[in-house]
Amino acid sequence: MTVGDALGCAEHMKMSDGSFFPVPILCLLEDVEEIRGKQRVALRDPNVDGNPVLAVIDVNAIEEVSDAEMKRMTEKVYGTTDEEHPGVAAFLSQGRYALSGPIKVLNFSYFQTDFPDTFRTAVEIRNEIVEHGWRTIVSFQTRNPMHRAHEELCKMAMDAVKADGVVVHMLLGKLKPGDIPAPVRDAAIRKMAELYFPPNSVMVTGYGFDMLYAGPREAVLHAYFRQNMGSTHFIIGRDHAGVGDYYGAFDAQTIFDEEVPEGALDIQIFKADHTAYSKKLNKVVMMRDAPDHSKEDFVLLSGTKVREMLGNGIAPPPEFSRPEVAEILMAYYKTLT
Amino acid sequence: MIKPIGSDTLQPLFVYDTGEHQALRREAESLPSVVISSQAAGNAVMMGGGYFSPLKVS
Repeated sequence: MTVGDALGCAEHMKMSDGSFFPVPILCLLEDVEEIRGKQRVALRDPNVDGNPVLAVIDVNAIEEVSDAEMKRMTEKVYGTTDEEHPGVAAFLSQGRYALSGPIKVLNFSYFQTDFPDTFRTAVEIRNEIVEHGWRTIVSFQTRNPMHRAHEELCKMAMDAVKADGVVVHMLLGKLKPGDIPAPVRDAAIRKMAELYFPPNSVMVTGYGFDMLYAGPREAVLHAYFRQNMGSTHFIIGRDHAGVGDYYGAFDAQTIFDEEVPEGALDIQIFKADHTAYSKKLNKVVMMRDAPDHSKEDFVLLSGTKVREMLGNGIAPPPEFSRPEVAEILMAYYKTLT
Repeated sequence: MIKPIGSDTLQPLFVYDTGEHQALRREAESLPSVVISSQAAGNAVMMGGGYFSPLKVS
């Protein structure tokens, strides 16, 4: 985008021509000496050895972005200029020259080569939805293995909207310390789908992007591209796409009512809360549906506790994790010892 | 099926036509080039895949 369009998207989710886009999309560079005055430029991939060409751009403009403009965009998109915020830090770590113009893309980077069974384009997901004959589709974003709370959340959403299927749509990318490798995570999710969902009601897919951690604004972006991939509904729970304490628990839900331009999105948001197994009711419930419960009435385990148990070959209670899912995760942790 | 954003058809920026794709690849070898940021690469992948349709401009 040009700086003008990027600022428009940051300010009010609209480009200069009125088109809706929730966040600025900029190609920020530190050094443009090699490409000044050039009409066509090859854009090389920073994440693959040898930096192969990822796309070719027809250069419209190279503009310098001022500090004030960077600050403005940071404020509006991330809701903060705090450089401790990982998304802010990543955004500001880029150069200050914005290269803009239409692009043509030649590959899907390491996302497709490293995750061939899971990576999908929006085109492919649309086609698969048509093949399945699905008309009402819920999509669910995750980075981690799905435990019973997530399984039930998907089922609640599917029941509520009478969905034909759910697309589990995972963010693919580099591992952080403690992350489960993607093939293990995918196997665990596929096992859950095979055993605990009606046949042919779950697609396990992924996409590649550098997460913004921008909370509400990123939730809107998430809804945008889930509509593009053919989903009619998208699950947004507590602190969606957030990090730390930057965003209110349900800001990523209310933004759709308060800031998204009227008619911009057809996809509907399934507004969710944390789900957990209720010892009182003997089933997984949404916390907002059990206002009389205290923390002790739920089976709650922190991520750290779950990793610790699995790492020690101890399956979490079946109210928390399906045994077959736990088995796959425990087998992985065993390989680390 | 739910319509894509802002258009009746999804407009992925990946070059599917093999002839055009090969020609672009060849041309790219001799073009001036720049290594882009990880964020910009992610944007390109999303645009390529049709996720950010109908956005054409990086």
